[in-house]
Amino acid sequence: MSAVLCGCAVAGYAVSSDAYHTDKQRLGYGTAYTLGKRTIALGPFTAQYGLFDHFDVGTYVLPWFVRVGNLGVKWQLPVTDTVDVAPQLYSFRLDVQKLNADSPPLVIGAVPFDVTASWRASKDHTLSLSAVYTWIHLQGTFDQEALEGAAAVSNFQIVSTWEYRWTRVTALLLRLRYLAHQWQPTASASYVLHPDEYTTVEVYGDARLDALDVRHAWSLIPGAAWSWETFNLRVGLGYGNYNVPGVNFVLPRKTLCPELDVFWRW
Amino acid sequence: MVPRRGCWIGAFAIVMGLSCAAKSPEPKPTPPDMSVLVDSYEHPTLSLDPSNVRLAFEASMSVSASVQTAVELVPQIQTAVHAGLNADGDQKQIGASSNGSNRTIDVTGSGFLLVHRICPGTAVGGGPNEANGSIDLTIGFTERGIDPVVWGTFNACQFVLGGAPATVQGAVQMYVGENLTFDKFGTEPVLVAVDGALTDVSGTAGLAMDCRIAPTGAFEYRVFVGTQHVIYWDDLEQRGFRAANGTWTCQLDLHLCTRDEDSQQLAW
Repeated sequence: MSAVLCGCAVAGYAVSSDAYHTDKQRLGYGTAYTLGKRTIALGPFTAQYGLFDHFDVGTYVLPWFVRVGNLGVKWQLPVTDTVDVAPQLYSFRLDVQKLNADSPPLVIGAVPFDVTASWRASKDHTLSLSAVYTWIHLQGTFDQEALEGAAAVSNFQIVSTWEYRWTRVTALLLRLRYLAHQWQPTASASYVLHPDEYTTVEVYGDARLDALDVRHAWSLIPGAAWSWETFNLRVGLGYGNYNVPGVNFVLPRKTLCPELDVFWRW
Repeated sequence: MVPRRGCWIGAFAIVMGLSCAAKSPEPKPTPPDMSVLVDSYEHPTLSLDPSNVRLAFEASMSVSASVQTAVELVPQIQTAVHAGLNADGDQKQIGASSNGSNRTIDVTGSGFLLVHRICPGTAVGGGPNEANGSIDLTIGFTERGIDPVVWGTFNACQFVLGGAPATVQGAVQMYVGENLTFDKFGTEPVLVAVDGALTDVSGTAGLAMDCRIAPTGAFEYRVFVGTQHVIYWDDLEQRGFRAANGTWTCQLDLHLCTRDEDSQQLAW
């Protein structure tokens, strides 16, 4: 399960669409922008294709190696000359037992849906605001320890991304994420807790797990994005409740939050 | 160009396989029926009289060692239940973390817990080790609290019994009472029935015993004379019998029992 989280964690930051920072080529992750028709963005973490002018399909590559099926779409809707809005829908499905036969049965479904508005405040400054709802469905036995304590519950997050284009190649980023609300787990799952080192407790039934209560979690991540003709690199390092990108599981403890994104664009 | 969204979303859902039917929640297991045992503790069938008081006394002494074993087992069971239920000041919180983190469950409906507790073993400070055996318990719950019967098994559970190493194997049932809220667990008497085997320094012997134990340490157990029974009780200060014809307080060293209601005495 840790491999799943790591895979998603790295790959999650790679759903973007960068090349030289120009008017037509803009950062995709955390913004309303898409690739453009017949444009490919391919890296070790993600694969995206601009199916139409403002419509991308994409997938996180790494999760497939740990049998996390996933696919997503993004649709950019220009509103004004400086404002774009984009709904985005992704879906993940993981059968944990296919990954590890010794694990208790668990199927995780995650469907993040977000609507992002991006405002080009000036030539160099772009501000984006995303409302992200993630529907999580667990079926089977959920072992919180196996998920590194991550709260795999449906939630609603607000994400703000500020981009400052420093040079043609380099852009500075600042991302603020806030978990505004979360919903209770579905009743078709059971939960495994470890209240002490001698005891394992499996919970079956309707219960609200305070263990998974991460409401008001937040993270603040400064970073930078470099975009050359085809090669793109983004790194970031911040602090807060780590959000597993894509599936939007949130760790209950605050820690350093890294970002990494590498891909080529044609 | 705007894509036909319905097609894409439909294909998307099919690819992801999210249309699979949800599986029903795990059915709540049916607890063992302890009603007959509970009733027998409430209603002793034997009336004590001069013809049977000696037999009742001798029978009570003959099973006292087994009862003592059961009494010492109860804390092991209660520890396992507490670890699962850990009320921690909130009557509806379950499973609070030992490290104080926020790992709790707020019960909002009906369900059950499966508690697996590693036994302490016989070595001091050895830490958790599955080789020391375990206790597995099933604890049902509703919003009202714990279900009346908690049950499970001792799996070669090793612990120190009376200062000596011992191993218990077998089934255990515990009646905690009706409508017991989570925070009240451990504060009310519990009726425990054990059916298994005890291995200690003297060898392995069957252990089939039931007794009712209060948090104060007071205990009582059934004593059979033929097919009928009385309840032997010991509140750590006084002891005696509850019989069909009243409650008797006894001075066992004097072989004398006195009925509480009318001071009638029985001697043997």
